[in-house]
Amino acid sequence: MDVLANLMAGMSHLFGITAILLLIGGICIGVVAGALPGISFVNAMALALPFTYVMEPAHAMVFLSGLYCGGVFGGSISSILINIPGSPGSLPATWDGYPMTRRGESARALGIAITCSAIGGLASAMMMIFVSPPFAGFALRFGQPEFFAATVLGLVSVVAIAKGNMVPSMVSLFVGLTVGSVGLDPLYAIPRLTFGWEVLDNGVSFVVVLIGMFAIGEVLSSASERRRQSLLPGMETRARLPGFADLYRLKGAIARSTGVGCAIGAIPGAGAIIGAIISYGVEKQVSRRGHEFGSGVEEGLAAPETAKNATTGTATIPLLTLGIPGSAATAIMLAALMLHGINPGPMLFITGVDLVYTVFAAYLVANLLMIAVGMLVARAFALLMKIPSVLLFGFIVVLCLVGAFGVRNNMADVYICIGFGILGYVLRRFHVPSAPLILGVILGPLAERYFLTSMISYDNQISIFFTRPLSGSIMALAFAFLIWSLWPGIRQRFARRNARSAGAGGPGDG
Amino acid sequence: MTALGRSGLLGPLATVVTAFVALAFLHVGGDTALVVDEEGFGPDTWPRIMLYGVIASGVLWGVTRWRQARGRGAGEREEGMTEIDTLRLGIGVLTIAGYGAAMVYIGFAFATLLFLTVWFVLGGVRRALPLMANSVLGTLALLYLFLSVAYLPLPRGVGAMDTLTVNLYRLLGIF
Repeated sequence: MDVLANLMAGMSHLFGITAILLLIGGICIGVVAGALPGISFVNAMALALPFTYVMEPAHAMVFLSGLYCGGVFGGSISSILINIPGSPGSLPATWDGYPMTRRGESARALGIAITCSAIGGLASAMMMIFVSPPFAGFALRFGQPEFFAATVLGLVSVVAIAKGNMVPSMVSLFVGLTVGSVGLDPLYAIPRLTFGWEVLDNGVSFVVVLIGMFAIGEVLSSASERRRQSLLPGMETRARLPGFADLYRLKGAIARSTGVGCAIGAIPGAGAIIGAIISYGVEKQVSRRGHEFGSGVEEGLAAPETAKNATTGTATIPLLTLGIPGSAATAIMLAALMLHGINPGPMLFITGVDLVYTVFAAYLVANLLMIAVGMLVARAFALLMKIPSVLLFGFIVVLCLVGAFGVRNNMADVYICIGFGILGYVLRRFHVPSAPLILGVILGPLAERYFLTSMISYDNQISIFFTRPLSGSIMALAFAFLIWSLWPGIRQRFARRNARSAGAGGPGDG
Repeated sequence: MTALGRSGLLGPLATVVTAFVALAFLHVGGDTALVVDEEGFGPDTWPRIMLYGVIASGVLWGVTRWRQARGRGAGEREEGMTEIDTLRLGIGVLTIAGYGAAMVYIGFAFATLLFLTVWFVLGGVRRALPLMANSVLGTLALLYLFLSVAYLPLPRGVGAMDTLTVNLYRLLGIF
């Protein structure tokens, strides 16, 4: 009952004029940024960060929550209408959404995408509301070794989920962890890897890295590749929401994908793209029309759309309860909180109940308002597509550099941002994912601090991470996760070896 | 593209070399007094472990790439590699870096105006009216946004440019 009472209080904070306007503004910016190929909602969140300095902490979080929920959906508009995903999580929407558009069913496809995204987002928000408080209570039992183990689990899962691209992800993660260790060490205040540059004593801000890697990297990538996008002639960009009968027919796909999305969202590093792709795969196996997937099947669109937004709420659980962000979007939320001097974690559920429940309320309302905003943006999409990309990118560069400057009012951060922008472009070129690097920069300093303080508290015994029941269990989970991700490769190798030995022993024998 | 680039080994090689340089700096470059407690973990422990991680994963990446390149055969293009316009990329990088540098010397307002104009011209906006409208109005909007809404102490330039920027802000009523 406490939860419901607190949620009502959160709702009352949210329905103040400033908060609700910021939420609507956030959703609008998120959906538009998500819908415009090459911008992405994560860039928009990073660029919006400097403006949250002047907001109250709760308002800043409401604004970013709206941007996040709207942005995760927004990418589907361009996926469905022009076959280009506005954000990576919207890639599966091109597989069945665009074929529907080609058949002249764009309004129906947009309607299904909007409704399913909203349902997934709402379910995930409910999950966050009811799971976070007990989990935060449980996390109060965590000591430094448990926090270290939880951070290790996050780092391992970032690599483990990148099954097909594991080694480059590992490189990216270690580079990020190294970048995160630049500056004064947390115990002795001795500079490391600063190369004599004093401005690096305070470390490299992950916000600066994030803005550079995502936004500047994307601008350079677009500038060098001359991409072109266009609408099909005479195409309808209006969305038509599905009726109850339509939704009832899709109930299985929606229910399964909600479950998949909520579960995947809670895994650090996984996020919308993994949730959407896995749920598409699951639905393809389960659906009676699985063999038709890819030709414009409603279930093939409903499943990833539901799962994508179903990751949003559960992805926020580790951030609020442990202070460990699992994705770039939640990392920006962490930055916004830290800029206001708030450290998320289990104590936030005691000292900042109002803030936490206002965020919960914002997630619920954002997913409902997203339906209206999504329909409006879809309608205006043809107009948005007319904005020349050179204009957008010019302003994005300015916003990026000012955003980087604004983190610490320091020109050095501007140069670091440009440097990471170039690195972001290079990584893209070599097919190295940049998300593990960002998470490495964020989680690295946390992991180092938890590691060193654990060592001081427990006489430098590394075994403490494995012998304490809670940290040992989390470490075992991390190990199991790693084995699970390596298993297909190991099995394949054994199978090849068996086939070779069978081949060598077969015809030649006897 | 060079043979190294074609084989896909350029990235792993650059990663490993950079990590070795950083590791050498950590050991030799004046940070040798880092180990405070010889029995425990000094300030260099964590970055050192991470750099070993970069080197190990970089080598593994190189081996994987090398095996993939061998499997592909000579002259075959790496899957997923798109053709890039190197000139456009180079100009883009230089323009952005130049903007960052110019901000210090001529101030945010004039550097932004200059950057937007150059960027739009390079991007193909050649007609004077849309060019000026976008760059001048865009700069003004950004100035109001960052100075009057976000209160950011953006650089004003040095010497005469500082005076000029202050006068501009006074003229616009944002100083």
